[in-house]
Amino acid sequence: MNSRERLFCALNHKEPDRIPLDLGAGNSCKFTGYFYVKLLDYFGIKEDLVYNHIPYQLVSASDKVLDLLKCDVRSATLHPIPQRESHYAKKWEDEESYYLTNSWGAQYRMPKEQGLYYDLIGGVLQDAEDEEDDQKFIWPVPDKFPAADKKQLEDYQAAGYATTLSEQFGNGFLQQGPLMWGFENWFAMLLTEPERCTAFMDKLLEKKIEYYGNIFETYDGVIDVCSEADDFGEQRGTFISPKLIREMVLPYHKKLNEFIKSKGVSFMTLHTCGSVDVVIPDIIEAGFDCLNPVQISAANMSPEHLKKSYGKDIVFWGGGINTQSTLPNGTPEQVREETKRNIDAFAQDGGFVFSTVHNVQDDVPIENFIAMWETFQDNCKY
Amino acid sequence: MSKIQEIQIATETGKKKLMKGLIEEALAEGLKPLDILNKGMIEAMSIVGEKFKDGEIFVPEMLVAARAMKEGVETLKPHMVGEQDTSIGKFIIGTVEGDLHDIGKNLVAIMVESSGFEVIDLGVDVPAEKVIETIKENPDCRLVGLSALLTTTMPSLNRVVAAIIEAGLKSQVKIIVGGAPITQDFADKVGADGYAADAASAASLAKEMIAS
Repeated sequence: MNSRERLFCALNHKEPDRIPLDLGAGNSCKFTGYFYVKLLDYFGIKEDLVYNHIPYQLVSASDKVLDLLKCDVRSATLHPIPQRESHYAKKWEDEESYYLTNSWGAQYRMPKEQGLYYDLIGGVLQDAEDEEDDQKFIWPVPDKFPAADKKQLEDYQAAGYATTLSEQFGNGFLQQGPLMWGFENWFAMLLTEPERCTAFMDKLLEKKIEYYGNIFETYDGVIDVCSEADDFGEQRGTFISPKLIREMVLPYHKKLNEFIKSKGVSFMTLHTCGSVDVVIPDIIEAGFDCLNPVQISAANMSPEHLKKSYGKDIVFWGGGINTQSTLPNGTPEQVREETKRNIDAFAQDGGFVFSTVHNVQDDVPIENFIAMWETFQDNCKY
Repeated sequence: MSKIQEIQIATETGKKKLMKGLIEEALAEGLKPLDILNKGMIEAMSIVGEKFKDGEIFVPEMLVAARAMKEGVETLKPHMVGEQDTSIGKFIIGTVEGDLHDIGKNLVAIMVESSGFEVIDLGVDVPAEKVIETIKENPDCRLVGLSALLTTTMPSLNRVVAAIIEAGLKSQVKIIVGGAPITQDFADKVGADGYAADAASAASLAKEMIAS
């Protein structure tokens, strides 16, 4: 059984020869730069770092490293061809910090001293008062991609790997708004001026469809799994009421999923952080096949509960180890114990792709990561 | 329904546009500004906090209620001139050095302020020295709230608490900590006085702490 067959088997809720492993490819299954350096040192490899997500400081792991880790999934390396110069995008710095504004007008800052990430400091519509102000936003135009890039994924598939696209156009339907109007404004608008939110989400759907149209012009037939990201949860529950998620947000995802699946992609993943237990049935109903990162440390998100309640209908792509405490702050022994426990809870009948809960961050000791990986190797066979 | 009840319901349900009119009507009826504030709005926000803790309402409902209260307070302000200080105490808040996240911290500030505190918000990426300086500048302040979202900035939270203790200010202030990776256990270990899992719990904990 090769990696691709293994992943498909698990995604179809059957037990493969072993649990598929994704570290470094899928949405939020990646490594930060500093952690990746530790991993390279561990393997005794020298490589130039290739950053693929500047705000989160994430790097692209090389095929060499992914092979050493025996990972089953590979992601497309995108080389976007901009269709119009962004109205907002720029980078600058002052004595203390680096700054950037992305093509959505979202401003980020990373302190030069001990800065770990670029964090959001402002949105382009944060002072917008009405729909007229909202309409002043200059939308980014979805990029196109060079036809020659198809070969990378064809080669991966020919070599037996599963392929994924882990990048999206902007953020999710619920999550893009806060990056533009600001968190508090957007969340209040959802209740007080929902028409402003839906006007934006209508347009976002249109643009996302255009983006995926461009993607499939290049990658037709070679992407096994696509993903969208939309954080619905915080530590204790959902940010907004399940009713609003159900009625206002997920219908957009459903339409987008239908479009993506009409292009021949069989599996869609939703990356959604936090405690999302109450809306998992709705996520399934919206056409998602896999859930990521499966934040098992959040309320009502225990592996046993999730597997028992939803395991037949959704694949858990993540949930392998708690990255909020055990992986960065536990002992290697605690990491081993938890990894084994989570595998035991999730593995039965397939429907599980092992990955960390979210990207592996700078503060993760290499000993803990290796303890997790070795435990996975020792327990991944069906 | 009394005017106070109407104000309470309008606050609780976030009817910002009704607040000015209702408060003017209440004042015209001869109600005292302080009663409108305490029995109308602060009481409403306490109900909002309870409902949020119980998962009956969510962040948007809490935000619009707080915005309605803010509108009400603006309307009341000119009528409160000459009243003694209505704040129940000062509350210094900030996200610790190295951490630039403020969504949770701002929600806590909103709920604490809506409970009747005067909030001194130091923003994000706040060094220990800044917290200490602010405590010293506000000798009447009894509470400090510190937030960290990241596992990578939890040590920074630890350092700020240690610095407050080292500066000998622990006899003046109690410290409440919070943020996604923070737990009661962590709070105990670093020597904080309390941990709150959400904005509403932080506000009730703050009230309990100044009452004790």
